[in-house]
Amino acid sequence: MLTKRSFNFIYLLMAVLLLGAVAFYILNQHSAGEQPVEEIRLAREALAASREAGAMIYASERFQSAEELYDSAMVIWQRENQKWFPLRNYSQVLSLAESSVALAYAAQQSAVATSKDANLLSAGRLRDLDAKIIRFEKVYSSLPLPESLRNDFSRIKLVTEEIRLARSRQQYKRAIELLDTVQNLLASTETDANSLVIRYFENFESWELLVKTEIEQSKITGKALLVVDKLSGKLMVYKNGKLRHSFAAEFGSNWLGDKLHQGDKATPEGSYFVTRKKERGNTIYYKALLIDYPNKADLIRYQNNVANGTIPRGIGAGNLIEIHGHGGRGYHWTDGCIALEDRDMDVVYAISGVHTPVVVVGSTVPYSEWYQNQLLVEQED
Amino acid sequence: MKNKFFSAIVLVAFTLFVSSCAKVPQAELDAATAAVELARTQGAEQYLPAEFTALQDSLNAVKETIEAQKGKMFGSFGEVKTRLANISEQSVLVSTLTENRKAEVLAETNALLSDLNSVLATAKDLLATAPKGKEGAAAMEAISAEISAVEIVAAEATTLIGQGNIFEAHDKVKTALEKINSVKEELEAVHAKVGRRR
Repeated sequence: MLTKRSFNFIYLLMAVLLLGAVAFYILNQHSAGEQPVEEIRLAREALAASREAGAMIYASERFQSAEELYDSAMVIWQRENQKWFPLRNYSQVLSLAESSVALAYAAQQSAVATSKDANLLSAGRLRDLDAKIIRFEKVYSSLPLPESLRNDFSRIKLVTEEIRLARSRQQYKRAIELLDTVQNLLASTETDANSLVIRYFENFESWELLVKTEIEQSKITGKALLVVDKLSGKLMVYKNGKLRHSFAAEFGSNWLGDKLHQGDKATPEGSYFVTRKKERGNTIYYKALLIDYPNKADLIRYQNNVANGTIPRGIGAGNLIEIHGHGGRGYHWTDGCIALEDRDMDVVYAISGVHTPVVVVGSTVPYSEWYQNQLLVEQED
Repeated sequence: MKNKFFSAIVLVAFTLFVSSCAKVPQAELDAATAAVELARTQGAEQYLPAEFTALQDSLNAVKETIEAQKGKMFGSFGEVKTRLANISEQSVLVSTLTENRKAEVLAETNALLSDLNSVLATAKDLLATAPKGKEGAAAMEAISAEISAVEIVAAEATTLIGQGNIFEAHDKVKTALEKINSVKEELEAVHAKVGRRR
Protein backbone atom coordinates (compact mmCIF):
# COMPACT_ATOMS: atom_id res chain seq x y z
CA MET A 1 0.00 0.00 0.00
CA LEU A 2 1.55 3.34 -1.12
CA THR A 3 1.73 6.12 1.47
CA LYS A 4 0.76 9.73 0.83
CA ARG A 5 4.45 10.62 0.71
CA SER A 6 5.03 8.00 -1.97
CA PHE A 7 2.18 9.34 -4.06
CA ASN A 8 3.56 12.87 -3.74
CA PHE A 9 6.93 11.60 -4.98
CA ILE A 10 5.32 9.82 -7.94
CA TYR A 11 3.28 12.91 -8.85
CA LEU A 12 6.47 15.03 -8.68
CA LEU A 13 8.32 12.53 -10.86
CA MET A 14 5.49 12.43 -13.40
CA ALA A 15 5.40 16.25 -13.46
CA VAL A 16 9.17 16.34 -14.09
CA LEU A 17 8.82 13.71 -16.82
CA LEU A 18 5.95 15.59 -18.46
CA LEU A 19 7.81 18.89 -18.27
CA GLY A 20 10.87 17.15 -19.69
CA ALA A 21 8.83 15.65 -22.49
CA VAL A 22 7.29 19.01 -23.32
CA ALA A 23 10.72 20.68 -23.24
CA PHE A 24 12.12 17.88 -25.40
CA TYR A 25 9.26 18.32 -27.86
CA ILE A 26 9.67 22.10 -28.06
CA LEU A 27 13.43 21.85 -28.57
CA ASN A 28 12.97 19.15 -31.17
CA GLN A 29 10.40 21.18 -33.08
CA HIS A 30 12.78 24.12 -33.03
CA SER A 31 15.51 21.90 -34.40
CA ALA A 32 13.14 20.52 -37.10
CA GLY A 33 12.28 24.09 -38.08
CA GLU A 34 15.95 24.76 -38.77
CA GLN A 35 16.18 21.90 -41.23
CA PRO A 36 17.35 22.90 -44.73
CA VAL A 37 14.20 21.56 -46.41
CA GLU A 38 13.50 24.62 -48.52
CA GLU A 39 17.13 25.16 -49.53
CA ILE A 40 17.56 21.55 -50.64
CA ARG A 41 14.31 21.72 -52.59
CA LEU A 42 15.51 24.87 -54.35
CA ALA A 43 18.78 23.15 -55.23
CA ARG A 44 16.93 20.18 -56.71
CA GLU A 45 14.68 22.46 -58.75
CA ALA A 46 17.62 24.52 -59.95
CA LEU A 47 19.32 21.34 -61.16
CA ALA A 48 16.13 20.28 -62.95
CA ALA A 49 15.90 23.64 -64.71
CA SER A 50 19.57 23.47 -65.62
CA ARG A 51 19.18 19.98 -67.04
CA GLU A 52 16.16 21.14 -69.05
CA ALA A 53 18.30 23.88 -70.59
CA GLY A 54 20.80 21.27 -71.78
CA ALA A 55 23.46 21.92 -69.15
CA MET A 56 24.46 18.23 -69.18
CA ILE A 57 25.64 18.74 -72.76
CA TYR A 58 26.59 22.39 -73.00
CA ALA A 59 27.86 23.15 -69.46
CA SER A 60 28.65 19.65 -68.30
CA GLU A 61 31.44 20.48 -65.84
CA ARG A 62 29.47 23.13 -64.00
CA PHE A 63 26.34 21.00 -63.96
CA GLN A 64 28.24 18.02 -62.60
CA SER A 65 29.74 20.19 -59.86
CA ALA A 66 26.28 21.52 -58.96
CA GLU A 67 25.00 17.94 -58.73
CA GLU A 68 27.91 16.93 -56.51
CA LEU A 69 27.17 19.84 -54.17
CA TYR A 70 23.53 18.73 -53.93
CA ASP A 71 24.57 15.12 -53.24
CA SER A 72 27.04 16.26 -50.58
CA ALA A 73 24.35 18.40 -48.96
CA MET A 74 22.05 15.36 -48.77
CA VAL A 75 24.77 13.17 -47.28
CA ILE A 76 25.64 15.68 -44.59
CA TRP A 77 21.96 16.29 -43.86
CA GLN A 78 21.51 12.55 -43.30
CA ARG A 79 24.57 12.50 -41.07
CA GLU A 80 23.35 15.42 -38.95
CA ASN A 81 19.91 13.84 -38.55
CA GLN A 82 21.54 10.78 -36.99
CA LYS A 83 22.89 12.92 -34.17
CA TRP A 84 21.00 13.79 -30.97
CA PHE A 85 18.96 16.84 -31.87
CA PRO A 86 20.78 19.43 -29.71
CA LEU A 87 24.03 18.54 -31.45
CA ARG A 88 22.67 18.94 -34.99
CA ASN A 89 24.20 21.68 -37.13
CA TYR A 90 22.78 22.23 -40.62
CA SER A 91 24.95 25.22 -41.53
CA GLN A 92 27.16 23.17 -43.85
CA VAL A 93 24.11 21.65 -45.53
CA LEU A 94 22.66 25.13 -46.08
CA SER A 95 25.94 26.35 -47.48
CA LEU A 96 26.24 23.41 -49.90
CA ALA A 97 22.63 23.73 -51.01
CA GLU A 98 23.02 27.45 -51.70
CA SER A 99 26.23 26.81 -53.64
CA SER A 100 24.46 24.12 -55.66
CA VAL A 101 21.67 26.54 -56.56
CA ALA A 102 24.14 29.21 -57.65
CA LEU A 103 26.21 26.79 -59.73
CA ALA A 104 23.13 25.14 -61.28
CA TYR A 105 21.83 28.54 -62.29
CA ALA A 106 25.22 29.47 -63.76
CA ALA A 107 25.28 26.17 -65.66
CA GLN A 108 21.79 26.89 -66.98
CA GLN A 109 22.78 30.36 -68.20
CA SER A 110 25.95 28.99 -69.73
CA ALA A 111 24.07 26.16 -71.44
CA VAL A 112 21.53 28.53 -72.99
CA ALA A 113 24.30 30.77 -74.32
CA THR A 114 26.52 27.88 -75.46
CA SER A 115 23.64 26.10 -77.15
CA LYS A 116 22.75 29.26 -79.04
CA ASP A 117 26.43 29.73 -79.92
CA ALA A 118 26.72 26.08 -80.97
CA ASN A 119 23.70 26.50 -83.23
CA LEU A 120 25.18 29.58 -84.88
CA LEU A 121 28.67 28.12 -84.98
CA SER A 122 27.59 24.83 -86.56
CA ALA A 123 25.39 26.69 -89.06
CA GLY A 124 28.29 28.93 -90.08
CA ARG A 125 30.76 26.07 -90.30
CA LEU A 126 28.32 24.00 -92.34
CA ARG A 127 27.88 26.85 -94.82
CA ASP A 128 31.67 27.12 -94.99
CA LEU A 129 31.95 23.35 -95.51
CA ASP A 130 29.36 23.39 -98.28
CA ALA A 131 31.30 26.18 -100.01
CA LYS A 132 34.56 24.24 -99.71
CA ILE A 133 32.94 21.10 -101.12
CA ILE A 134 31.65 23.10 -104.09
CA ARG A 135 35.11 24.60 -104.54
CA PHE A 136 36.77 21.17 -104.45
CA GLU A 137 34.31 19.85 -107.03
CA LYS A 138 34.90 22.85 -109.30
CA VAL A 139 38.68 22.70 -109.12
CA TYR A 140 39.46 18.99 -108.87
CA SER A 141 36.49 16.87 -109.99
CA SER A 142 37.59 17.01 -113.64
CA LEU A 143 41.07 15.74 -112.72
CA PRO A 144 41.95 12.02 -112.78
CA LEU A 145 42.36 11.80 -109.01
CA PRO A 146 43.56 8.58 -107.31
CA GLU A 147 40.77 6.29 -106.07
CA SER A 148 41.65 6.99 -102.40
CA LEU A 149 41.06 10.73 -102.84
CA ARG A 150 37.76 10.13 -104.65
CA ASN A 151 36.64 7.81 -101.86
CA ASP A 152 37.61 10.33 -99.19
CA PHE A 153 35.69 13.07 -100.98
CA SER A 154 32.59 10.87 -101.25
CA ARG A 155 32.84 10.14 -97.53
CA ILE A 156 33.09 13.86 -96.80
CA LYS A 157 29.83 14.48 -98.69
CA LEU A 158 28.12 11.66 -96.80
CA VAL A 159 29.20 12.93 -93.38
CA THR A 160 28.04 16.42 -94.37
CA GLU A 161 24.51 15.01 -94.67
CA GLU A 162 24.89 13.51 -91.18
CA ILE A 163 25.79 16.98 -89.92
CA ARG A 164 22.65 18.41 -91.50
CA LEU A 165 20.57 15.68 -89.84
CA ALA A 166 22.15 16.37 -86.42
CA ARG A 167 21.41 20.09 -86.77
CA SER A 168 17.80 19.40 -87.77
CA ARG A 169 17.46 17.55 -84.43
CA GLN A 170 19.16 20.43 -82.55
CA GLN A 171 22.07 18.14 -81.69
CA TYR A 172 24.52 20.99 -82.15
CA LYS A 173 27.34 19.50 -80.12
CA ARG A 174 27.28 16.34 -82.25
CA ALA A 175 27.14 18.48 -85.39
CA ILE A 176 30.28 20.32 -84.26
CA GLU A 177 32.08 17.04 -83.49
CA LEU A 178 31.28 15.77 -86.99
CA LEU A 179 32.33 19.11 -88.48
CA ASP A 180 35.73 18.83 -86.76
CA THR A 181 36.25 15.36 -88.29
CA VAL A 182 35.10 16.17 -91.79
CA GLN A 183 36.84 19.53 -92.06
CA ASN A 184 40.16 17.90 -91.19
CA LEU A 185 39.53 15.21 -93.81
CA LEU A 186 38.57 17.78 -96.44
CA ALA A 187 41.67 19.84 -95.69
CA SER A 188 43.97 16.84 -96.15
CA THR A 189 42.10 15.66 -99.27
CA GLU A 190 42.32 19.12 -100.80
CA THR A 191 46.02 19.34 -99.92
CA ASP A 192 46.72 15.99 -101.61
CA ALA A 193 44.73 16.92 -104.72
CA ASN A 194 46.45 20.29 -104.90
CA SER A 195 49.87 18.65 -104.53
CA LEU A 196 49.17 16.59 -107.67
CA VAL A 197 48.43 19.75 -109.63
CA ILE A 198 51.37 21.72 -108.20
CA ARG A 199 53.75 18.90 -109.16
CA TYR A 200 52.29 18.89 -112.66
CA PHE A 201 52.84 22.64 -112.96
CA GLU A 202 56.55 22.19 -112.27
CA ASN A 203 56.77 21.74 -116.06
CA PHE A 204 55.04 25.06 -116.79
CA GLU A 205 58.16 26.98 -117.81
CA SER A 206 59.00 24.46 -120.51
CA TRP A 207 55.38 24.41 -121.70
CA GLU A 208 55.25 28.19 -121.87
CA LEU A 209 58.49 28.34 -123.85
CA LEU A 210 57.37 25.66 -126.29
CA VAL A 211 54.03 27.33 -127.01
CA LYS A 212 55.62 30.79 -127.33
CA THR A 213 58.22 29.46 -129.75
CA GLU A 214 55.66 27.70 -131.94
CA ILE A 215 53.35 30.70 -132.03
CA GLU A 216 56.29 32.87 -133.14
CA GLN A 217 57.03 30.31 -135.84
CA SER A 218 53.39 30.36 -136.94
CA LYS A 219 53.68 34.14 -137.23
CA ILE A 220 56.76 33.84 -139.36
CA THR A 221 55.54 31.05 -141.64
CA GLY A 222 51.88 32.12 -141.74
CA LYS A 223 50.97 28.46 -141.23
CA ALA A 224 48.44 26.86 -138.91
CA LEU A 225 49.42 25.70 -135.46
CA LEU A 226 47.38 23.47 -133.16
CA VAL A 227 47.96 24.01 -129.43
CA VAL A 228 46.41 21.57 -126.95
CA ASP A 229 45.99 22.78 -123.33
CA LYS A 230 45.17 19.67 -121.23
CA LEU A 231 44.21 21.30 -117.94
CA SER A 232 41.86 23.70 -119.67
CA GLY A 233 40.56 20.91 -121.92
CA LYS A 234 41.05 22.95 -125.09
CA LEU A 235 42.49 22.69 -128.58
CA MET A 236 43.42 26.13 -129.95
CA VAL A 237 43.98 26.90 -133.60
CA TYR A 238 46.55 29.59 -134.49
CA LYS A 239 47.17 31.07 -137.91
CA ASN A 240 49.86 33.68 -138.60
CA GLY A 241 50.60 33.62 -134.90
CA LYS A 242 47.06 34.69 -134.01
CA LEU A 243 44.45 32.65 -132.15
CA ARG A 244 41.60 31.84 -134.53
CA HIS A 245 39.60 29.15 -132.78
CA SER A 246 39.33 27.47 -129.40
CA PHE A 247 37.48 24.16 -129.06
CA ALA A 248 36.66 21.88 -126.11
CA ALA A 249 38.82 18.75 -126.27
CA GLU A 250 38.76 15.38 -124.53
CA PHE A 251 41.79 13.20 -123.73
CA GLY A 252 42.77 9.85 -122.28
CA SER A 253 41.27 9.05 -118.87
CA ASN A 254 44.78 9.22 -117.31
CA TRP A 255 45.56 12.55 -118.89
CA LEU A 256 47.26 14.34 -115.96
CA GLY A 257 50.84 13.73 -117.06
CA ASP A 258 52.78 12.65 -120.10
CA LYS A 259 52.24 9.39 -121.97
CA LEU A 260 54.83 6.80 -120.93
CA HIS A 261 53.74 3.60 -122.67
CA GLN A 262 51.08 1.79 -124.59
CA GLY A 263 47.82 1.27 -122.73
CA ASP A 264 48.42 3.88 -120.02
CA LYS A 265 45.40 5.95 -121.23
CA ALA A 266 47.59 9.08 -121.20
CA THR A 267 47.69 11.78 -123.88
CA PRO A 268 51.28 12.59 -124.84
CA GLU A 269 52.84 16.03 -124.26
CA GLY A 270 55.39 17.71 -126.46
CA SER A 271 55.94 18.99 -129.97
CA TYR A 272 54.45 16.95 -132.85
CA PHE A 273 53.18 17.36 -136.34
CA VAL A 274 50.39 15.91 -138.45
CA THR A 275 51.51 12.92 -140.50
CA ARG A 276 48.25 11.93 -142.14
CA LYS A 277 44.69 13.15 -142.66
CA LYS A 278 41.94 10.53 -142.46
CA GLU A 279 38.26 10.67 -143.20
CA ARG A 280 35.36 8.49 -144.31
CA GLY A 281 36.27 4.89 -144.43
CA ASN A 282 39.73 5.49 -142.99
CA THR A 283 38.65 6.31 -139.46
CA ILE A 284 35.81 5.33 -137.16
CA TYR A 285 35.93 8.79 -135.54
CA TYR A 286 34.40 10.88 -138.34
CA LYS A 287 37.68 12.59 -139.28
CA ALA A 288 41.20 12.21 -137.84
CA LEU A 289 44.63 13.78 -137.93
CA LEU A 290 47.39 11.28 -137.08
CA ILE A 291 50.38 12.79 -135.27
CA ASP A 292 53.95 11.51 -134.99
CA TYR A 293 53.83 10.13 -131.47
CA PRO A 294 56.24 8.71 -130.35
CA ASN A 295 58.74 11.35 -131.52
CA LYS A 296 62.47 11.21 -130.78
CA ALA A 297 62.13 12.71 -127.30
CA ASP A 298 59.34 10.24 -126.47
CA LEU A 299 61.41 7.29 -127.62
CA ILE A 300 64.46 8.36 -125.60
CA ARG A 301 62.33 8.75 -122.49
CA TYR A 302 60.62 5.41 -123.14
CA GLN A 303 63.92 3.58 -123.59
CA ASN A 304 65.32 5.11 -120.40
CA ASN A 305 62.21 4.03 -118.49
CA VAL A 306 62.51 0.48 -119.78
CA ALA A 307 66.20 0.44 -118.84
CA ASN A 308 65.55 1.64 -115.28
CA GLY A 309 62.58 -0.67 -114.83
CA THR A 310 59.89 2.03 -114.70
CA ILE A 311 58.26 0.34 -117.68
CA PRO A 312 58.33 -3.47 -117.81
CA ARG A 313 59.88 -5.02 -120.88
CA GLY A 314 57.33 -6.15 -123.44
CA ILE A 315 55.19 -3.03 -123.25
CA GLY A 316 55.57 -0.68 -126.19
CA ALA A 317 55.66 3.09 -126.24
CA GLY A 318 52.27 3.22 -127.95
CA ASN A 319 51.28 4.83 -131.24
CA LEU A 320 48.32 5.89 -133.43
CA ILE A 321 47.68 9.03 -131.41
CA GLU A 322 45.24 11.22 -133.32
CA ILE A 323 43.15 14.33 -133.14
CA HIS A 324 39.72 13.02 -134.11
CA GLY A 325 35.94 13.55 -133.93
CA HIS A 326 33.11 11.97 -131.91
CA GLY A 327 34.07 14.11 -128.91
CA GLY A 328 31.67 16.28 -126.91
CA ARG A 329 30.96 13.61 -124.27
CA GLY A 330 31.85 15.94 -121.40
CA TYR A 331 34.63 13.82 -119.90
CA HIS A 332 37.99 12.25 -120.83
CA TRP A 333 37.47 8.88 -122.45
CA THR A 334 40.02 8.16 -125.16
CA ASP A 335 42.99 5.80 -125.05
CA GLY A 336 45.29 8.84 -125.39
CA CYS A 337 43.89 10.61 -128.45
CA ILE A 338 42.49 14.13 -128.55
CA ALA A 339 38.77 14.12 -129.34
CA LEU A 340 36.72 17.05 -130.65
CA GLU A 341 33.06 17.47 -131.48
CA ASP A 342 32.50 16.64 -135.15
CA ARG A 343 31.62 20.19 -136.17
CA ASP A 344 34.82 21.48 -134.47
CA MET A 345 36.78 18.67 -136.13
CA ASP A 346 35.52 19.96 -139.48
CA VAL A 347 37.21 23.33 -138.83
CA VAL A 348 40.47 21.84 -137.55
CA TYR A 349 40.60 19.29 -140.36
CA ALA A 350 40.05 21.97 -143.01
CA ILE A 351 42.72 24.31 -141.64
CA SER A 352 45.35 21.58 -141.06
CA GLY A 353 47.52 19.66 -143.41
CA VAL A 354 50.35 17.14 -143.26
CA HIS A 355 53.25 18.72 -141.29
CA THR A 356 50.93 21.10 -139.41
CA PRO A 357 52.63 21.48 -136.00
CA VAL A 358 50.76 20.20 -132.96
CA VAL A 359 51.92 21.26 -129.48
CA VAL A 360 50.47 19.44 -126.48
CA VAL A 361 51.14 20.95 -123.03
CA GLY A 362 49.72 20.65 -119.54
CA SER A 363 48.69 24.30 -119.42
CA THR A 364 49.16 27.50 -121.38
CA VAL A 365 48.37 29.61 -118.28
CA PRO A 366 50.17 29.63 -114.92
CA TYR A 367 48.76 27.73 -111.92
CA SER A 368 47.12 30.76 -110.27
CA GLU A 369 45.23 31.65 -113.45
CA TRP A 370 44.21 28.03 -114.01
CA TYR A 371 42.92 27.79 -110.43
CA GLN A 372 40.83 30.98 -110.79
CA ASN A 373 39.45 29.75 -114.12
CA GLN A 374 38.36 26.51 -112.46
CA LEU A 375 36.40 28.44 -109.83
CA LEU A 376 34.51 30.22 -112.58
CA VAL A 377 33.41 26.95 -114.18
CA GLU A 378 29.63 26.41 -113.91
CA GLN A 379 28.82 23.14 -112.12
CA GLU A 380 26.20 20.78 -113.51
CA ASP A 381 23.29 20.01 -111.10
CA MET B 1 -8.46 5.37 -8.15
CA LYS B 2 -5.01 6.92 -7.85
CA ASN B 3 -3.45 3.70 -9.17
CA LYS B 4 -5.71 3.84 -12.24
CA PHE B 5 -4.82 7.48 -12.80
CA PHE B 6 -1.13 6.66 -12.40
CA SER B 7 -1.41 3.75 -14.84
CA ALA B 8 -3.18 5.97 -17.38
CA ILE B 9 -0.39 8.59 -17.20
CA VAL B 10 2.30 5.93 -17.64
CA LEU B 11 0.39 4.45 -20.58
CA VAL B 12 0.06 7.84 -22.29
CA ALA B 13 3.72 8.63 -21.70
CA PHE B 14 4.74 5.23 -23.06
CA THR B 15 2.54 5.66 -26.13
CA LEU B 16 4.02 9.09 -26.80
CA PHE B 17 7.52 7.68 -26.46
CA VAL B 18 6.89 4.81 -28.85
CA SER B 19 5.15 6.94 -31.46
CA SER B 20 8.01 9.46 -31.53
CA CYS B 21 10.32 6.68 -32.71
CA ALA B 22 8.57 6.06 -36.12
CA LYS B 23 10.97 4.18 -38.41
CA VAL B 24 12.21 5.24 -41.83
CA PRO B 25 10.68 2.96 -44.49
CA GLN B 26 14.12 1.67 -45.39
CA ALA B 27 12.95 -1.39 -47.29
CA GLU B 28 10.65 0.70 -49.48
CA LEU B 29 13.42 3.28 -50.00
CA ASP B 30 15.92 0.61 -51.00
CA ALA B 31 13.40 -0.94 -53.36
CA ALA B 32 12.61 2.39 -55.04
CA THR B 33 16.30 3.28 -55.35
CA ALA B 34 17.09 -0.10 -56.88
CA ALA B 35 14.14 0.20 -59.29
CA VAL B 36 15.29 3.62 -60.51
CA GLU B 37 18.87 2.35 -60.87
CA LEU B 38 17.63 -0.61 -62.88
CA ALA B 39 15.78 1.72 -65.23
CA ARG B 40 18.99 3.73 -65.63
CA THR B 41 21.17 0.71 -66.42
CA GLN B 42 18.61 -0.43 -68.99
CA GLY B 43 19.13 2.86 -70.81
CA ALA B 44 16.12 4.89 -69.71
CA GLU B 45 18.33 7.99 -69.56
CA GLN B 46 19.02 7.64 -73.27
CA TYR B 47 15.74 6.23 -74.59
CA LEU B 48 13.20 7.97 -72.35
CA PRO B 49 15.15 10.92 -70.93
CA ALA B 50 12.16 13.00 -69.79
CA GLU B 51 10.52 10.06 -67.97
CA PHE B 52 13.77 9.02 -66.32
CA THR B 53 14.54 12.56 -65.17
CA ALA B 54 11.06 12.77 -63.60
CA LEU B 55 11.67 9.47 -61.78
CA GLN B 56 15.04 10.57 -60.46
CA ASP B 57 13.59 13.88 -59.36
CA SER B 58 10.70 12.19 -57.54
CA LEU B 59 13.11 9.90 -55.70
CA ASN B 60 15.24 12.85 -54.62
CA ALA B 61 12.15 14.68 -53.41
CA VAL B 62 11.13 11.66 -51.32
CA LYS B 63 14.62 11.42 -49.81
CA GLU B 64 14.35 15.07 -48.82
CA THR B 65 10.96 14.41 -47.21
CA ILE B 66 12.46 11.46 -45.31
CA GLU B 67 15.25 13.61 -43.91
CA ALA B 68 12.78 16.34 -43.01
CA GLN B 69 10.65 13.79 -41.11
CA LYS B 70 13.69 12.20 -39.45
CA GLY B 71 14.52 15.56 -38.00
CA LYS B 72 11.18 15.72 -36.18
CA MET B 73 10.25 14.17 -32.86
CA PHE B 74 7.04 12.72 -34.25
CA GLY B 75 8.09 12.02 -37.78
CA SER B 76 5.50 10.46 -40.04
CA PHE B 77 6.39 8.26 -42.99
CA GLY B 78 2.96 7.13 -44.10
CA GLU B 79 2.86 9.46 -47.12
CA VAL B 80 6.52 8.67 -47.86
CA LYS B 81 5.76 4.96 -48.08
CA THR B 82 2.99 5.64 -50.58
CA ARG B 83 5.25 7.84 -52.69
CA LEU B 84 8.06 5.28 -52.65
CA ALA B 85 5.64 2.59 -53.74
CA ASN B 86 4.53 4.84 -56.63
CA ILE B 87 8.13 5.44 -57.64
CA SER B 88 8.87 1.72 -57.66
CA GLU B 89 5.80 1.14 -59.80
CA GLN B 90 6.69 3.96 -62.19
CA SER B 91 10.26 2.69 -62.46
CA VAL B 92 9.03 -0.72 -63.52
CA LEU B 93 6.84 0.94 -66.14
CA VAL B 94 9.72 3.11 -67.38
CA SER B 95 11.98 0.05 -67.54
CA THR B 96 9.40 -1.77 -69.64
CA LEU B 97 8.89 1.23 -71.91
CA THR B 98 12.66 1.60 -72.26
CA GLU B 99 13.02 -2.00 -73.37
CA ASN B 100 10.18 -1.48 -75.84
CA ARG B 101 11.68 1.74 -77.19
CA LYS B 102 15.12 0.17 -77.45
CA ALA B 103 13.70 -2.75 -79.38
CA GLU B 104 11.76 -0.36 -81.61
CA VAL B 105 14.79 1.79 -82.46
CA LEU B 106 16.97 -1.28 -82.93
CA ALA B 107 14.40 -2.90 -85.21
CA GLU B 108 14.07 0.30 -87.24
CA THR B 109 17.85 0.65 -87.54
CA ASN B 110 18.31 -2.98 -88.51
CA ALA B 111 15.54 -2.64 -91.10
CA LEU B 112 17.24 0.44 -92.55
CA LEU B 113 20.59 -1.36 -92.54
CA SER B 114 19.06 -4.34 -94.29
CA ASP B 115 17.57 -2.00 -96.93
CA LEU B 116 20.94 -0.29 -97.24
CA ASN B 117 22.80 -3.54 -97.81
CA SER B 118 20.20 -4.66 -100.32
CA VAL B 119 20.33 -1.42 -102.31
CA LEU B 120 24.14 -1.47 -102.04
CA ALA B 121 24.24 -4.94 -103.60
CA THR B 122 21.90 -3.83 -106.39
CA ALA B 123 23.98 -0.72 -107.04
CA LYS B 124 27.18 -2.76 -107.22
CA ASP B 125 25.53 -5.15 -109.70
CA LEU B 126 24.31 -2.25 -111.79
CA LEU B 127 27.78 -0.73 -111.73
CA ALA B 128 29.42 -4.01 -112.72
CA THR B 129 26.98 -4.45 -115.62
CA ALA B 130 27.00 -0.78 -116.64
CA PRO B 131 27.67 -0.26 -120.34
CA LYS B 132 31.33 -1.08 -120.91
CA GLY B 133 33.50 1.12 -123.02
CA LYS B 134 34.32 4.69 -122.86
CA GLU B 135 30.98 6.41 -122.49
CA GLY B 136 30.19 7.25 -118.88
CA ALA B 137 33.57 6.02 -117.61
CA ALA B 138 34.25 9.10 -115.52
CA ALA B 139 30.73 9.08 -114.07
CA MET B 140 31.16 5.39 -113.19
CA GLU B 141 34.37 6.22 -111.36
CA ALA B 142 32.59 8.83 -109.27
CA ILE B 143 29.73 6.41 -108.58
CA SER B 144 32.22 3.71 -107.59
CA ALA B 145 33.71 6.13 -105.03
CA GLU B 146 30.27 6.88 -103.63
CA ILE B 147 29.47 3.18 -103.32
CA SER B 148 32.75 2.64 -101.47
CA ALA B 149 31.92 5.46 -99.05
CA VAL B 150 28.48 3.96 -98.36
CA GLU B 151 30.02 0.51 -97.78
CA ILE B 152 32.34 1.98 -95.15
CA VAL B 153 29.41 3.69 -93.43
CA ALA B 154 27.40 0.43 -93.45
CA ALA B 155 30.30 -1.34 -91.71
CA GLU B 156 30.63 1.49 -89.17
CA ALA B 157 26.91 1.35 -88.44
CA THR B 158 27.09 -2.40 -87.82
CA THR B 159 29.92 -1.83 -85.33
CA LEU B 160 27.95 0.93 -83.58
CA ILE B 161 24.92 -1.37 -83.25
CA GLY B 162 27.16 -4.01 -81.70
CA GLN B 163 28.40 -1.41 -79.21
CA GLY B 164 24.80 -0.44 -78.33
CA ASN B 165 25.16 3.01 -79.89
CA ILE B 166 21.87 2.67 -81.74
CA PHE B 167 20.94 6.32 -82.30
CA GLU B 168 24.26 7.17 -83.96
CA ALA B 169 24.00 4.04 -86.11
CA HIS B 170 20.46 5.02 -87.10
CA ASP B 171 21.53 8.44 -88.37
CA LYS B 172 24.50 7.06 -90.30
CA VAL B 173 22.38 4.39 -91.97
CA LYS B 174 19.63 6.87 -92.82
CA THR B 175 21.96 9.28 -94.65
CA ALA B 176 23.81 6.43 -96.36
CA LEU B 177 20.53 4.89 -97.55
CA GLU B 178 19.43 8.19 -99.10
CA LYS B 179 22.76 8.43 -100.92
CA ILE B 180 22.81 4.85 -102.23
CA ASN B 181 19.20 5.15 -103.41
CA SER B 182 20.15 8.18 -105.50
CA VAL B 183 23.19 6.29 -106.84
CA LYS B 184 20.99 3.33 -107.77
CA GLU B 185 18.58 5.63 -109.59
CA GLU B 186 21.47 7.15 -111.51
CA LEU B 187 22.73 3.70 -112.55
CA GLU B 188 19.25 2.57 -113.54
CA ALA B 189 18.96 5.66 -115.73
CA VAL B 190 22.28 4.78 -117.41
CA HIS B 191 21.07 1.24 -118.11
CA ALA B 192 17.71 2.52 -119.36
CA LYS B 193 19.44 4.96 -121.71
CA VAL B 194 21.47 2.15 -123.26
CA GLY B 195 18.35 -0.01 -123.47
CA ARG B 196 16.51 2.74 -125.40
CA ARG B 197 19.40 3.11 -127.84
CA ARG B 198 19.20 -0.56 -128.61
